[in-house]
Amino acid sequence: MRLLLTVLCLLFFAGCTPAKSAADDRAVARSVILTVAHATLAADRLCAQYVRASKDKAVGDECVRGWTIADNALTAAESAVDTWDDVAQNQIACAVLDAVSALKRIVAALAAVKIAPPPVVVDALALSGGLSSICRSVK
Amino acid sequence: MEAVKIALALLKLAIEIWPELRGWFDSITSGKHDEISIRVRDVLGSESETAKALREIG
Repeated sequence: MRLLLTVLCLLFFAGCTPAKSAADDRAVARSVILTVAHATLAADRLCAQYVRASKDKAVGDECVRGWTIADNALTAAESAVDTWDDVAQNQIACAVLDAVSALKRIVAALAAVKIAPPPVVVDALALSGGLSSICRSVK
Repeated sequence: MEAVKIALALLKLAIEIWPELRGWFDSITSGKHDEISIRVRDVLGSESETAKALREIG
């Protein structure tokens, strides 16, 4: 799953396929954004479970901060996919990268209390490397 | 009498499915039927689950 996502991500953002349509690119962008959204949801739910069980507000606050940043970044990414002009397409990788960075923040808060991230989160975090290099290249 | 019953049933059905119909119609007329905005919001919801948990524990 992680490999598939990484390949899909790279195919879309690096533009390395010989014959692809804008519709395909857009569909891949959507799937990457939704993958990160699902991962954010999973991490947030895990955090909520922990907060209810432990009453640990510090971890909860950190998770909420991460969720808020991820939410804003994914909203920006989805707007860019909706617009889908040249400028918007360049913004998508950086916006999704921001969301993944925020997800890392939630994962770090959970790791501090010895909670491992679920597979969907690990898959989304695996996108980070590819997104980072692509974001740098379009800036 | 049958015709009235059928008309009322159709009216009830139309009222029930109106939100979906309106959303579909809006998406077609705006040419944005392939947007993902609603799906991302559907995934994340309007508020963090952890924020709700924090409120619950006070």
